[in-house]
Amino acid sequence: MRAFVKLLNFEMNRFAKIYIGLMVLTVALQLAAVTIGANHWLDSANEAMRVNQWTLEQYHNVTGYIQLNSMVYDHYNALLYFGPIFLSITVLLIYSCFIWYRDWRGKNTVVYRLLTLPSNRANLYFAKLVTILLFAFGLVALQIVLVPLERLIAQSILPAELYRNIAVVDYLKYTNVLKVLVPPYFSEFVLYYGLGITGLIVLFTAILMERSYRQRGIGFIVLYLALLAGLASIPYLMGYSRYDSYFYPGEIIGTCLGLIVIIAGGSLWYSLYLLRKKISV
Amino acid sequence: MRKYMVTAVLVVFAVVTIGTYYVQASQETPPNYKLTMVQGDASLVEGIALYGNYMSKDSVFGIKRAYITINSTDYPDEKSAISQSLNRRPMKTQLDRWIEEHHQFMRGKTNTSGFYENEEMLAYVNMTVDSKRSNDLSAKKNAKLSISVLNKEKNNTQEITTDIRVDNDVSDIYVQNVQLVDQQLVTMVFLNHRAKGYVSEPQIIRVNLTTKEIMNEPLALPGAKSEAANGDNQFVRLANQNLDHTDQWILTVSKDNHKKAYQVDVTRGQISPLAFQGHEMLLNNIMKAYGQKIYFLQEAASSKKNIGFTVISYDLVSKEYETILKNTSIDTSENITYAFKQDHLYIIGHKNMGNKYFKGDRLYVFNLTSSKLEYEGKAVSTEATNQAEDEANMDLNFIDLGQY
Repeated sequence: MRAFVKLLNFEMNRFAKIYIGLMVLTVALQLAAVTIGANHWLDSANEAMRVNQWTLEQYHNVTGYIQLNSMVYDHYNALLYFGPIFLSITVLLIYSCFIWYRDWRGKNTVVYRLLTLPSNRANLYFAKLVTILLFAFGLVALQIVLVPLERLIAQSILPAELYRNIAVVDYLKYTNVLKVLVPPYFSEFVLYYGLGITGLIVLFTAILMERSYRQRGIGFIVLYLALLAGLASIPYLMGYSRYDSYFYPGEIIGTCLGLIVIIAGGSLWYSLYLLRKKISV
Repeated sequence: MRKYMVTAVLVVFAVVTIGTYYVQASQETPPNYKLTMVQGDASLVEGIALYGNYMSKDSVFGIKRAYITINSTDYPDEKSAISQSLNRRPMKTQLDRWIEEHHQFMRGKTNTSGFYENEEMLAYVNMTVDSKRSNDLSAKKNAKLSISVLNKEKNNTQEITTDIRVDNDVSDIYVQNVQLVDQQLVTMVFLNHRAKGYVSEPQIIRVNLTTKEIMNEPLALPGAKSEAANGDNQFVRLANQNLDHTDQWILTVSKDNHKKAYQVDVTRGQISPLAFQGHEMLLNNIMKAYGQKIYFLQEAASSKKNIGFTVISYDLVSKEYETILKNTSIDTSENITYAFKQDHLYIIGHKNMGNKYFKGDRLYVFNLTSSKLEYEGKAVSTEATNQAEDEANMDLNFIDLGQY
């Protein structure tokens, strides 16, 4: 356990600067998006009231309340608001590959030291896996924390007669991008991120195959992905998307969950086997 | 210890924030309603559900779909995707009951109109057509007819499958009703042609369960063109209720802005027009056949912008009309939602937001044989503190009797 924590901390610190940079960027751009959006709504409300000689109440009767989601989707604000989320996801995906390959870079490669450590090599694998997961969950938590802040900004800019507060849960549940990032139910959170973890394990397996067998490894990766595609097609062959399928929904869902466990478990076992037996320095 | 700070902070931040969020999210639940009896026979609403919209003033995305039963309320959009796909409806439907009893037999069988059940057997008829279409419009293409018959006593299944040639422009085939006459399964199917216009063509298919002989008989509708001219549409509707054993099918055909009704003898396949002489206007109303009666549900504007309703029955044997329900004092507001179950009519009025005369969402069940109101019930919020507000925020709009 001690070795694992040390390795985890080592991996975390290696990416900490870029990660904190991503967090700062997300906070700055999202808060800016809400500020710009709220001011834009205020300007257009003032303009409409001036042109039509409306009171605040009359304007409200015509347009209804302004809410946080109206600001986020206003003009280019969506890019400003959701851009850092997509950027963070992309960076994390790229780093999921780089977290292995960076060990082999340079003259005095880190991998020599890591693989010759007097501890189980599985610690190395799990340290990298947990690092990526922690980074992902950290960004999810940041998004949850940001919504109340964004509400405060909107509330401070817009008059109370025009603005209506929205529950954090409702906002996250009904915003398309965010409801995938922060699924509304815990069971879905487990399912979505379970799928994500399976994907990450598959990616790590492919990387370790390439590191173990080098050029021959590319061929093995193709075979491995073909096998996964075959397994993943089973629910569709069972009529997953057909209403008159021979199989009942419970059987298809059970098969899907079973396949996820088989793919994740099988890939994890093979990755650890490669790390212990095939990768040499 | 300081060197672990980044990791420790991130772990605590992620776990506490995500954990708190999901605890909070699980506590934010919309009100719970129950279908509560005001008067009558409670057994009439066992296993049924009323669907509606909960409109919360506080929520931006205010409208939530709600399924209300006598026990509780389900909000389908508040459930996870897995839970939704496992429990689509809030009660046990007829299909659910069959699945419980005949798990293997029921695989892949989802069209309630395709079933016939009696004490000895459960039969299912299905028909599908090739989606490919030839450029040669006069060519024929294949449709696949499959029949499964479960012998309940022996628990064995007889399967009959055959190909039937249909016109090249047939895009879909729907099984509408299945009856049993002297060991013959008699099935009413609609073939939908989409060559020039949309034409629904009724056909009868007979399958002799002993000899496995299959016959299909196109129903020539008297006075109706068999083929659509450019842009012509013909819509056909069967007024019989699913799973009722009948010897007469009642069809309505809409064509060229005219509606006609036909009576089809299940045994002989004979088709005869139903004239409703002097009462032709009845065809414009909701029509449901049960036993030897056809019931017409007529909406009629009454005072206070509300809509009252009248039910008139037509006896296929005596050819007599009878007004069963009329000028009821029930407030059904501007829209009504109804469902027929055998000789019972279930009816509720929509609130249609802003109708100040509306007294509240109530379900009424009438016995159409005795013309009596047998049940009156209301969707009641179980939270005493906000009861009146919760009830004002619920708008019922559909009755699910679990028959389909």
